[in-house]
Amino acid sequence: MNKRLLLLLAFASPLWAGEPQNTAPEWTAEAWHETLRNMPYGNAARGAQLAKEGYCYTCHGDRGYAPSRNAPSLAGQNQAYLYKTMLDFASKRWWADHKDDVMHNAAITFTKQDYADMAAYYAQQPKPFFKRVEKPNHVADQLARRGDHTRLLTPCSSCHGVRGEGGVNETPMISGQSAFYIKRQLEMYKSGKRRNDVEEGMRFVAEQLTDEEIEALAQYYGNGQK
Amino acid sequence: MKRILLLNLLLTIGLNAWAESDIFIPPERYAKDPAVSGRVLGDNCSACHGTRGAVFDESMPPLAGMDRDTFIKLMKDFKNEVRPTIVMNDVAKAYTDEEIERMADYFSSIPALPWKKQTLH
Amino acid sequence: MLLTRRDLIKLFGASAATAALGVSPKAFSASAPHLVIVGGGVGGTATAKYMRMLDPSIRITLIEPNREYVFCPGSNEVLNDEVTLAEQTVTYDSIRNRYGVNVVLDKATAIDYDKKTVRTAKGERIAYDWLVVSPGPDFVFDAVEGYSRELAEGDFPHAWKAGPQTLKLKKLYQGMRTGGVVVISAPPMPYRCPPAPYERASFMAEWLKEHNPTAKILILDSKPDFIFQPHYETYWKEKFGYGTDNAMIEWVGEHNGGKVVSLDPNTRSVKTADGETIKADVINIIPVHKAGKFAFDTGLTMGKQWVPINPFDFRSKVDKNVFVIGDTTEADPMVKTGYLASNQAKWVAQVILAEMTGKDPGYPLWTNNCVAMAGEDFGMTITDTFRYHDGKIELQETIQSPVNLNPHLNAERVAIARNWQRTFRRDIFE
Repeated sequence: MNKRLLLLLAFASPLWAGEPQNTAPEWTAEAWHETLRNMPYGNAARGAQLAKEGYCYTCHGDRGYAPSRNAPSLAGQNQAYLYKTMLDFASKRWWADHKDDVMHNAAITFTKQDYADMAAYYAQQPKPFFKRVEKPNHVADQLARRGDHTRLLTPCSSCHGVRGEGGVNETPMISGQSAFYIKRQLEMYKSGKRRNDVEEGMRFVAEQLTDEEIEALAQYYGNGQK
Repeated sequence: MKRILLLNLLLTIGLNAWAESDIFIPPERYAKDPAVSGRVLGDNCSACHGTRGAVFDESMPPLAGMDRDTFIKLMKDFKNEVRPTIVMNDVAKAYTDEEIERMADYFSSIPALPWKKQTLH
Repeated sequence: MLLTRRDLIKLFGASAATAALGVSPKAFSASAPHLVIVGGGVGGTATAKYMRMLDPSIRITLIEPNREYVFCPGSNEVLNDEVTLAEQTVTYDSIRNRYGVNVVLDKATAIDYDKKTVRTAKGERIAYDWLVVSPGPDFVFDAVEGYSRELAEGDFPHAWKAGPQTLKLKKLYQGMRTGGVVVISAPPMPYRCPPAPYERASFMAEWLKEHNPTAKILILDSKPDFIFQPHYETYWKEKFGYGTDNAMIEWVGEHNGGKVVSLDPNTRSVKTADGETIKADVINIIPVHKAGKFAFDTGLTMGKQWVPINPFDFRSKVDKNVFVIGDTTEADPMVKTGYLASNQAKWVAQVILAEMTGKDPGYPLWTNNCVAMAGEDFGMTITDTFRYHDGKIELQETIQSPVNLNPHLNAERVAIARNWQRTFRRDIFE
């Protein structure tokens, strides 16, 4: 038996098998644009009531301003992204680990109209305050504004906006989130556990980032929340 | 035993009322007892939040390495029932403010790493 | 193969092994104080793990006759095929390898209080400085005339310790005739995990509704009411026609003659306190509980049904170097749950550390924040907090989640219930 296998046996703690697998088909651009065209018109007032009934504020905070590093802020988030997120949790297209179980269970109790209404409500809230870093980390700043042509990495800002405020279609606001959350998502894309991105767009990027670059980007876009 | 039933929970949805069997004694009753340490208090959280609050892959949020002030603010909001929650209001109201602060000291002193990657001591 | 600490040291050298394991090289010094634990369930295993987290040098020995442990919380879901018994099964590998605990595969049989030794079935004598006893409950089979340990291991499983009997019960009720009847006899308090008989009935009903829709589940209860009763009855009304002629689940409380007094295995029938005879296809008698056999054999029960303890530190009233925790104790007003056993264990580890170092142990607090389910779309929680006050254990708080038909909330509670089952298991065994 080789050492690597022994190490695995010792530390992987295979306490239980049979973990659920993410088997939902991935997004093609065509399927996503078709879905977006059919997205119901969102009623923000109804969305506010639904968000209350769903106890969304327990993790995402009052009006979607996350109270801790542990969940993303939804206030001012891209409406299409919010709608898509609920579809993806319901279908388990976004199922990276058991952290996502509560969102899956919540999502399956709502309808697509409900998703659109809640998305409209949260998207209407002012974005969280984003303080620009005075002396940004050079590595992160380069990746954010210029990308890296040697690795075919487009700059983050070309999709997520100059200040990470979110872009067209489904590209989300990232700058209002905690560094802790951003890092976790980049790691999930990098490991392939999160796979609800359209045409593997984020996975292509994250797979090429080093751990140091992920940390630097998380600090660069993070809101300073610990 | 002193039974105090709080029947003033006005919630927005459904039949949200306390059960007949519910009991609640405000934590101030125990304020003169010797202090329960942050660690003893915090180790009661581990069945949901993981050993030393260091489970990072489950729905219930990790507490390891959580900012002290954020922890205190959240727990006091739960305790004061600022809004209904799934379970944390019930959990938090058992503790005095000083106990909440001791728990905050304990969890903020632990690295924000999964338990598997932490050293034991 | 099982990896021992020695194997790791051979492979990587002592420093690498200790760094990875987090156990100091002093860990196995023969002169170090010795904590011996009887019983590798939730209470005993939690004691071992949390003791090691408090002190790198103490020697810890865990005596447990089984190589694996089947975790009880979540095991009712084996019955509706939501989880497998294998998923509920854990090993002592982490306890052994990461926490440097000497796990002895043997059965403790006796204590010599004067010589401070534990005797085992294989004839070993293990010396201790402190002994923690956590054997779990045993059952009073003859509280129901005609019932016995042998019948429980045969065609009348109680399945109240997750394991082969759980699978047997599943096979029996899933294999019964169309329109068959399952009788569940629920015991009087105290017993481990108070909502579990009703959770069990609910999961069985969920499976039967799909595969055997004319089948019936009759809960014959030795109590006049039960925990989460409004929750279960609400859910059963919604899903299983509870209270109607076509109800799949029927509950008969003690006041209506629900107490089962005898079993006739030949006619497959039970008799109730009212003298009524009820025939059934599957009979699941959950027996009356008592302290574990080891506690009786060693005199720790002091002639009672449960082990008397000092309520501050769970020290036995028989001997000050012996602590007793978990379902086997008389720790009123605490209920019998694994959650409480684990929190008692963590506190006892603090007490032992204090004694070892000559420091003040501080003050305890124990919570019992458990979850139960009625179905894959309905979860519920209970929040209990216990304090030590005026020389007694006091129930400061017990709050049940409200009976609430908000579907979002109930579904979220199921995710949280499962989260709790996994995280709790990891907190003890990982």
